[in-house]
Amino acid sequence: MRRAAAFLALIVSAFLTHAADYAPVVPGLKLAFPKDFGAHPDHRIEWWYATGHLETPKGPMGFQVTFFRLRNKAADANPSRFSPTQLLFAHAALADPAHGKLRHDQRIARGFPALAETRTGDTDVFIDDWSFKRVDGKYVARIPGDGFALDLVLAPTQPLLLQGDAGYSRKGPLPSQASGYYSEPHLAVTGTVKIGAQSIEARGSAWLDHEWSSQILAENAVGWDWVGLNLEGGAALMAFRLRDKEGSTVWASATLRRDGKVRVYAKDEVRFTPRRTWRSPRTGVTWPVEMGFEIAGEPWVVTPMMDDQEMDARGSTGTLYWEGAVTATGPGGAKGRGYLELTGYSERLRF
Amino acid sequence: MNAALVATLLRGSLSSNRWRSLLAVFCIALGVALAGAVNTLHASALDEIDRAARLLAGTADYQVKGPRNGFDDASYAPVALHPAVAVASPVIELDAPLPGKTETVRVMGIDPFRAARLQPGFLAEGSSSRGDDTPTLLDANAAWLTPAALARFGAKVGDEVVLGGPKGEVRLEVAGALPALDGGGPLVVMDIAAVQFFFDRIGVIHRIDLRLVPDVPREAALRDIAARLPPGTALTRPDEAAMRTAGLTQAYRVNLTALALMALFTGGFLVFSTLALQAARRRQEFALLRALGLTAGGVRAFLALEGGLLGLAGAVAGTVLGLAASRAMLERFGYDLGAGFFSGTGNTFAPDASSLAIIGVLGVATAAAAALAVTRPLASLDVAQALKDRHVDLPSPPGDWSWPLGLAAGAAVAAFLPPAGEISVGGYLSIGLALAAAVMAVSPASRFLLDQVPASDAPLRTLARAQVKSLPGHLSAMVSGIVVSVALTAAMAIMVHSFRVSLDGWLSGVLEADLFARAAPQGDAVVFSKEAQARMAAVPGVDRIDPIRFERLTPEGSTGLLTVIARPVDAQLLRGFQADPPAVPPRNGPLTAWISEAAVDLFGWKPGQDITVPLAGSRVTFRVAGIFRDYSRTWGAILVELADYRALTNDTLANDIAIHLAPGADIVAVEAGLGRIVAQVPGAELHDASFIHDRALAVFDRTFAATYALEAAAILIALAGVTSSFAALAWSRRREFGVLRHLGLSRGEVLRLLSLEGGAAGIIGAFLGLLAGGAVSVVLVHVVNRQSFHWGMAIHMPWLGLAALVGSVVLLCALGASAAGRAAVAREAVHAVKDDA
Repeated sequence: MRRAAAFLALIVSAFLTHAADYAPVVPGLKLAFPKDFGAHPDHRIEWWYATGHLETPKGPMGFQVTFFRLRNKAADANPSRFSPTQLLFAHAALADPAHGKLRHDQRIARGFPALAETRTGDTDVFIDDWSFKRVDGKYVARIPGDGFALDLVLAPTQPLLLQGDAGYSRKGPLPSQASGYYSEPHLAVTGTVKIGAQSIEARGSAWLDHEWSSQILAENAVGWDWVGLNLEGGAALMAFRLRDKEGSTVWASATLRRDGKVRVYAKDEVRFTPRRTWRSPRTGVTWPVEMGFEIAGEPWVVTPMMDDQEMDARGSTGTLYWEGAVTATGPGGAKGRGYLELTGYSERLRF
Repeated sequence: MNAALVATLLRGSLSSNRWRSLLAVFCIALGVALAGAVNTLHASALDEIDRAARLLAGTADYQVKGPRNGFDDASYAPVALHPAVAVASPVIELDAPLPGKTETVRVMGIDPFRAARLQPGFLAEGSSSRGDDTPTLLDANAAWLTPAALARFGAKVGDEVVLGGPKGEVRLEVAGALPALDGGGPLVVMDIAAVQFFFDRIGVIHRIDLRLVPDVPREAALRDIAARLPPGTALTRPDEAAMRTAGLTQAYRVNLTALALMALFTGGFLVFSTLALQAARRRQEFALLRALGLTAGGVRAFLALEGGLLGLAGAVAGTVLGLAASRAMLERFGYDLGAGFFSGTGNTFAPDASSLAIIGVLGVATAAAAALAVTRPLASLDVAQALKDRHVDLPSPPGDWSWPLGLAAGAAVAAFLPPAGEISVGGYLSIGLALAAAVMAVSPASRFLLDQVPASDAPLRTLARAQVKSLPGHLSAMVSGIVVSVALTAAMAIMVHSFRVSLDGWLSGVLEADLFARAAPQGDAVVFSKEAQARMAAVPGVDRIDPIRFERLTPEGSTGLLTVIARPVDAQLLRGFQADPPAVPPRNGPLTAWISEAAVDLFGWKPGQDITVPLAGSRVTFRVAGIFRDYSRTWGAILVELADYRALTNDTLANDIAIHLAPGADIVAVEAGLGRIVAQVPGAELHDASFIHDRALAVFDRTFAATYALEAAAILIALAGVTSSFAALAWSRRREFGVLRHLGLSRGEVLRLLSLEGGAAGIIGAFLGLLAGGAVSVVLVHVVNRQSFHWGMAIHMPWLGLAALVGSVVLLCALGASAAGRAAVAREAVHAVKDDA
């Protein structure tokens, strides 16, 4: 699964009552490309979520580039060009241990031709001058943010990783609680990172998730933990769990691709155990920044590149989550790098 | 002269002339108050416009602004995509009525995500941090209100508020308050798409607020952006809003200020005549002071100080009065001084200290100058002579006709000078010269007029005639006061009456239909849809309906406003609008438009000319078929055929609808049928023509109520001045009265003599005043009005009012003279004669 950032949760819940109005993701979903690289505008929610590690002359860094699309059927009756039938959000962050906390920025817009679109047919999403587009099989991300900018090309080195049952990914006890979901692990990254006026050459590896759904949250879920890891030797691991108010697991799943073979783990085979927490001096929220998890009894541990990768955009979008670059160790000396996402650890978020 | 002595003398002189001093103070105060109030109202209005424009624009550097009815929102994306544009925020703005009330509120439709990047105040308290049932930013029925808007609705966050819209009532939930935008007035902020939908304005925006990328060459970028905009829109800076308004209201403001200055100078003149008589009476007093060692300069300085103190008291009282009056007017009427320029909320009170100081100093200077004019002859008086001599006259003005005729000729020439901008410099100069001519004519005219009166055997009449004919200086000053007051009063009365009669006739012509459904007075949110129009036309008993649509725009290459009135045009309507020529050209020719007199003056357009007007995003050329009269607007207007307008714009809405009944239709039944349709358009009204006619005249009368009040004040001041002058005069003539009593005249006869003299002075003053007033009214109507307000009218004389004016002036002069004389003749004749010993 991948992560509607927390601010989306409430919007989604506001729309839950009308879930039936939106195209459902049903068992037996068959993905077709390049069409499914593009947007699925009739589904309630969709995201393209790229995270990765960079090597730069200034040392290692982590980055996140996310575009969300949210369908609002309530606005369909209004023929106005401005009618907010689609809402677009984008978040970007740069983790730089030398800086000690995230540099981040965001964009929000209603879908509007030529200004903010999530196009169908192939990956092509943009909000003003922020864009994420698939060109000649590679993803091009242009993010001129406030105080930093990302200008990156993400080139696939492996086949697509279809999550769940060939791209049909269950999120809860009901078959309709599911998403269309594929990943692109081990993307080779080249490009530049700009901090202030300084341009820095960067290369590294990234992970892309593209996911769409109309009913993503079980009703008792308040948050989730997610991890996506590019392992040494070309293997890729994704694991998530949905938590309820008490912290118990509502749903969980994991996917491991090693040597071209994909293994999907069911809810009972995945167990998350926080190992070390960090309390944000800004928000007072305690985050389990070092996370342990078991997949079919085999232990994994992820350790953050830096503790403070808290993303606080409550002032503008009502969002507070932790999205951090991590290194991982696993059974048999497995090593890897990736991202850990933690949501729903603060008070119940509101939009 | 030491300070204690000055203080003693001042106290003595001011307290012994308490009433006259009070009168002088009152005159100055009135002028200062009027000028100060006009200035303060205007400064407050501009301040509010400026603050609101800056506040709402936030960090925007420029705004794309279109016509009143907005422009195509397809222009938004190309502007937003321009590389020099960092943020572009589209805005739709409407004035929507509160159902069941006469108030409107400004509705602003924004894209909150865009607006917040320019002005974070749009996403303020209450837009987050409430329970799950809080409407989200994009919920169509959610509204965010400024504190002023909450107060207007008497609502709080979470309540429902209702607005009138073209498709019925718009019910909104108050999702939050916008305290950061409090200076923006009563604002209801909604999502832009919801406003377009609820108010039937799909595809329309009114503004795009822009922040440019820093460090790009501005000039080139602005030219380039402007090239992406449709005709009829313009790029302006938010801080220019107040400046542009100031430009539009300049003529209006200058005219009111001129009126105030006239009051001030009339006051100054009355100060002069009061002080002159007082000083004449105190001639001995000054001679004594001189004998006691005071220099001539000292006497003059003393009198100037006295005048200055009177002026200061008047200026202080006037400033306080002006501030209080403008404050009260703001609270009751808002900024709108009757001309419809401002529609602000009136919650900004921003007196401009430096202007008020200048006005105050002007008041003091007027009084001091009047005092100095009085002291000139006094300072040079022969002390020994003056100590003995009881002759108290002022030097008489020149008695020949050369001065008045020269000044009158100057006045006539000045009336033909071109205006400076919209300010009728020549007109005001002409008025000033005409008044001066009338004052200078007092002396020769009295002589001339009394020569026409046959000599009489009656001794009293002969005496009175001799006295007035020789016209001593003090009597001349008094008559001059009457002339100026009567002239100004008569001129204003003639002008206002001419305007009212012209307006009355024009309204009768313009309101040619039987019934009117009107949405226009209730802001621009309420309009009649094409469907509503069709249903009205289908009501049994309705012969036809004429939909009327208004648009207000700025022609390219101009900064002025132009109203487009689109309605079915026929010969009858043109006659009603007093159009010249009142005929519709054949329909197969070019598009035709009739232009208002203001459009002729302001845009330089002429009949037969092709004019280009930006309509619905394209440039449209009309052939000017004629000129019509428009008493509704002081800016330009054009009248075009509704069918042409609709074909050009695809805009089928109507602000007003004129309804013609079929012959023999039952008006009550038709009104009921139409009323049911109109009731579905909240805020719209249905009235018959006579109601609207009467209401327009009532508004006119209310607007000019201040003028009527001023006239009354001018008359009262003049008459009070006359009575006070006579009192001084009578006192100084005690010796003469004593002699007359010795010669056998009874007390009653002496008083009758005084009445005759007063009456004669009143008649001469009123006659000259009427003449001068008539001349001034011609200048006001044909020069000042035309150049400042751009509408033509015919002179109509309020004969009854003028007769009443003259009658009361003459009567009160006579009564005042005799009443004032009563005190003077009360003492024994013997005493009076002895007094001379």
